Amino acid sequence: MKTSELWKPSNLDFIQNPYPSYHKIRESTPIFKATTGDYVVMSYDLVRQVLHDPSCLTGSRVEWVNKLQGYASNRNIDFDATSAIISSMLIQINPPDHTELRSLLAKNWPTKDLLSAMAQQLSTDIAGKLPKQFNLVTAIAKKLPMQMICHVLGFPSDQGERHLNDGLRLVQLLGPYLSFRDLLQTQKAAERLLDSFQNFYDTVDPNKPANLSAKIKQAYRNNGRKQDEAVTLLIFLFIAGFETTSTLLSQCLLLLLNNKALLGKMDQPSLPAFVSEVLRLHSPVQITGRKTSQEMVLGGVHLPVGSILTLCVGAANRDPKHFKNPDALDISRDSKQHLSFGYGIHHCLGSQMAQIEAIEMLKIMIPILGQFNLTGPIKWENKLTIRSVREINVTRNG
Amino acid sequence: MKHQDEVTSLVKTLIAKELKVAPDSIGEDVSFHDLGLDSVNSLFLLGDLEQKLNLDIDPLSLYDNPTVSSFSNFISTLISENI
Ligand code: HEM
Repeated sequence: MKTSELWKPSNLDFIQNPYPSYHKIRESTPIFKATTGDYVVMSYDLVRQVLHDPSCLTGSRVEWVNKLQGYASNRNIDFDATSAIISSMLIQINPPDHTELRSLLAKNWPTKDLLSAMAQQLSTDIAGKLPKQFNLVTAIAKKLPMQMICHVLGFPSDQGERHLNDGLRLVQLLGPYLSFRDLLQTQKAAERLLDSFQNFYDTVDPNKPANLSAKIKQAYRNNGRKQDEAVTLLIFLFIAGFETTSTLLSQCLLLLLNNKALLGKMDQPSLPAFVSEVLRLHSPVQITGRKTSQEMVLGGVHLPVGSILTLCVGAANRDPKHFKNPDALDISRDSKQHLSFGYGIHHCLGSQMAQIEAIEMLKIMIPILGQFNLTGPIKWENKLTIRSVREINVTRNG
Repeated sequence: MKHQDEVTSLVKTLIAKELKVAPDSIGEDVSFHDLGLDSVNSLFLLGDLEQKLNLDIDPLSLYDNPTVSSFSNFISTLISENI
């Protein structure tokens, strides 16, 4: 079978367990041209090299959506809200604008202590309200990150809950394998988000910097930046903050539910290493992208200017050249070098927040997790970009 | 039940609409790429087909079946599997 035929990024069976195919592909080549015309990068070294290379730019999804917007307007279909939101995604912006925005956010980012206290409080509340029978994904894994990012932004949690699926739709825009129907739903989601966040932003008082939104509003005023871009930046933070983290929480809980021996051995000091190893093994973001701005040779393959690179982080994290026995969960290994939060100038701004959420949630769940049993098959979402779980149904004994 | 030649002619009509050319000018064994379809207008094409035929079509199927004849063949099979 040809390498490109093993790569089936829109196929549900592939998405449920892509790792055997990743291995087969990586063994035959670290980079190949897909039928879609993009170059898919599979090895650890090459993925990291591209993320580190300042000539490999981000932003091709914005270009694509803008093209979509142009074509669609000929048919009287409106993608304006979609375009406005994706254009504000920090991850789609290149220097020098990226540098300025990123430092504006970093300066105003909540501290570790604040985040830990918040995550602990929210986790306690969530664990205290668990019914006897429930879906772990919606009851815990989606709830905590949603409430957390709402608290950080000062955005009302009940409104946040209503936008749960809207956020997922928009973050999937970063992935290349969408259907037209997906896009029409994305546009509806984008309109709802813009509407709510615009109303919210109007109520934010920049003179009382009680939350990240107020600090951003103040900074945008002081720097003379456009206010409507602040609104879409808040939307991006909202979106970036929960789908990925909820995947991490789901995977942590699922692994411990399936491995009661490991659950028995878990203590607080081993949690950071456990979470890091789960991130390596089950990268919530499986693929990201870059575009070449000059000719280059990568892994022996000549890439013309403007080549689209699909970076398979999920495959890089299991590269046996970098991680021995890569499919095994081993909390004693040095897993910190995983690429699940990216690498280089776009390295995830929320990496600390996400890990704190996982650790605080596990501290509270581990003592009671032994009482839970899986009651049905695990159900996955049908997108590879963020490989997320939809249902993990459990019941509680006694 | 649609025959393959009906599907072929529907596909050609929709491509012609995207590219603003006459349906007859579209070669059945020329790749979509060479015909001038890009990743955006091929999405519109799939969207129209999904609606007209009431089907779910994998967004990557155009790449796996990159000509009018191979793609129409793929769609006909999909239709018969859906009945
Ligand atoms: C387990 C959870 C998370 C994972 C796996 C994750 C993953 C990533 C990855 C891979 C990137 C870089 C993508 C690239 O370079 O192409 C990124 C960027 C980013 N993430 Fe996260 N993320 C997570 C949680 C969060 C949270 C909680 C926030 C908080 C709001 C957040 C905010 C951001 C932002 C703002 C960027 C863009 C940084 C930039 O472009 O400079 N992420 N994330």
